[in-house]
Amino acid sequence: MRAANGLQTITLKETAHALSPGIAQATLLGRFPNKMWPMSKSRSPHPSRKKQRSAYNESDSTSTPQESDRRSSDATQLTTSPRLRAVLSLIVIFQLLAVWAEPFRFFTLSSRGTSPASDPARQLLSPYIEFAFLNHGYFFFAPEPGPSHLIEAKLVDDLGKSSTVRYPDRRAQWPRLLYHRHFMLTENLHQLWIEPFEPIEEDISALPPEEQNYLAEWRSTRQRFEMVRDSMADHLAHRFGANEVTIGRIEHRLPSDIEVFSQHMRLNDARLYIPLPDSLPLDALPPSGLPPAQLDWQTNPAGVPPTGLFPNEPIDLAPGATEPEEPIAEPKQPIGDGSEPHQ
Amino acid sequence: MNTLRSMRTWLNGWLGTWLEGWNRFWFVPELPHALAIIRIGCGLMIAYMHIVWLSRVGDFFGEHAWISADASHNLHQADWGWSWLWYTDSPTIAAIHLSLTILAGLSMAAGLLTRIAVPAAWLLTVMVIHRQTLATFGLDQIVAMLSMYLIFARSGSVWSIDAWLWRRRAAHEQTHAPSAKQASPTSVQNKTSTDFGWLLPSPAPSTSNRIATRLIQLHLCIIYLFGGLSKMRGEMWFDGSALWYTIVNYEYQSMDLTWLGRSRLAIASLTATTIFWETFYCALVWPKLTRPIAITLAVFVHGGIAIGLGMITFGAIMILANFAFVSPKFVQRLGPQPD
Repeated sequence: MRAANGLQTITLKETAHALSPGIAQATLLGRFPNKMWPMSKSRSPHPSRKKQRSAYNESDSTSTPQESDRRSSDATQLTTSPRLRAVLSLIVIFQLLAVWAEPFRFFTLSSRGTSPASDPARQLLSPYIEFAFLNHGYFFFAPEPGPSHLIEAKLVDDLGKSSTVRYPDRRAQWPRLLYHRHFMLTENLHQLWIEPFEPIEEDISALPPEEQNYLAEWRSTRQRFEMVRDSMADHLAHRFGANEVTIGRIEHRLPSDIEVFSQHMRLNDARLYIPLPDSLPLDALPPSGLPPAQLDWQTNPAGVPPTGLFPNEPIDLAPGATEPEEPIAEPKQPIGDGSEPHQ
Repeated sequence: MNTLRSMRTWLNGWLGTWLEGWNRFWFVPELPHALAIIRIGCGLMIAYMHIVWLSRVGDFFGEHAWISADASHNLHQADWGWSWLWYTDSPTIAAIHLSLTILAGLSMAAGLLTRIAVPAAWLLTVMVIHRQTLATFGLDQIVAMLSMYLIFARSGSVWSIDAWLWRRRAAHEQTHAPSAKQASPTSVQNKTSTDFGWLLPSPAPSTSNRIATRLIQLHLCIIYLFGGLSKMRGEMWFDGSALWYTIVNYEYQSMDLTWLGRSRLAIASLTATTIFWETFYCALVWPKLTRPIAITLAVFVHGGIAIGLGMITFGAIMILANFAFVSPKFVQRLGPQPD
């Protein structure tokens, strides 16, 4: 209740003072001259006041007479009291701040973290933002339309016979919304993925505190991925009556127009499906000290295995992408954010 | 002193202009008709979404769900999201929850006990969303957003069962009025703004409709603004290839639009139009001159997403949300008129 308590302590009067001593307080509390709050219930629907109002409107040199008339007519329709309007104003400002906070924070995310300007509002309003499901970055198909991520599960039954099943499958999941739910599960599993990694040093407590924190965060992120992956494996084992289930991630690379039109490659061509390993070779690991959230971009800009892992597969970056000269942190949705990278 | 006085006068005038504009923007009473369209569409969408969940209740909410209740709870350990569905893996309980949500959605669409149905639909939907965090997408975000704002509006006061009940009661009160005074033309006119308790608000313009409409409008502007700005962090939206890599995404594709790629000019032009429209929607949608352009482009973009990228539900809900920018008076003229 940290943030909620903080909010409760701000009274209307204090907010008015904070906005602008004197004037703001007077306006919020309805003590301004009548022209500020045209047609308040407490003040004057009296015809004699109309002259004052129209004089006020005339002072707006940018308005046409028709606009002034309209405004005047709008203003006379106000049915709420100044006090209620002040309260409602604070509520809508609160709401707009809550709606703005998360996409702004997400937008400022870089390799150095988020902008300090974006943090206070986001942190203060987090109970409301997160409960009301307002924590979205709205990065639809951004920053680039990327490849899709599927899962392929290897199922082994009691007799040792193995089979595979791939998700999502638009022939198996219908209606389309159900298919899309499955698609989001596999995409988000990929988003949660992080390289399994254990430090070479056995005595972690000997490490500097920041490296200990870093490792703890890494472990926690990896545990989250494994928890979700294992839950999916349990589901598939139960669904197909399998004894053993191994889930692998697959990336469906997007073909270029040259591949489609000149090489007649189909969109579901087998060459476009690239299995993603759970572990990368040690030399592909990033230097220690890099926050876990940036790893898959750092080591693997397009989510494609680096050269040498799959010698028979084409080693391509994402379509149109080039190897970044300097590592750029790909904005990654926070866990539980509810947004997916494409949609 | 004169300078100070004139500065003070100027400041007062400037603040007064701001406050007048603020009042006009937020508090001028508005008709409920555009919100009623959003209510009907959003209610039907909530019902449909939960029918789909219900069709696979065991797969998504059962003991062996894709994401178990414990795993789902664990994903929210560091945030304030909360769902009572974390504490059960019983498909029966989940089915009851989903059935209630479907009823609330249908009731919202029909406008039956709208004042209760809308908040119930929102809360029940948010509970499902927090339980199914990893399976949600833009559709869930927009549905939660629209239903939340509708809680505060009188969207059920027209084109609804509530409106029918309200008219019946108004007619009944008028018929059984003891004095002739109550049957005067003035009283009939006044009757249109009478609320019969909290449950049956009048269809007259109201401030709550205005605030809900404005919040939907501004929320949409924020969505589009950050949608556009985020695309500027990539290169494909600038070099004109982004649309190609969107339509060749097999997992999204529901209609083969790859033929568009035969003209790189067409692809690049559509890509540029999309990013400019999305980024500047928040400016273009307010002036009356450019609003039809912004809304028409929204219909084309979201219609394209619905038809070409297989997200009919998401495309439809975004088009529905854009109704917030259509004048309620215009919507009123289009819709059925009460007897």
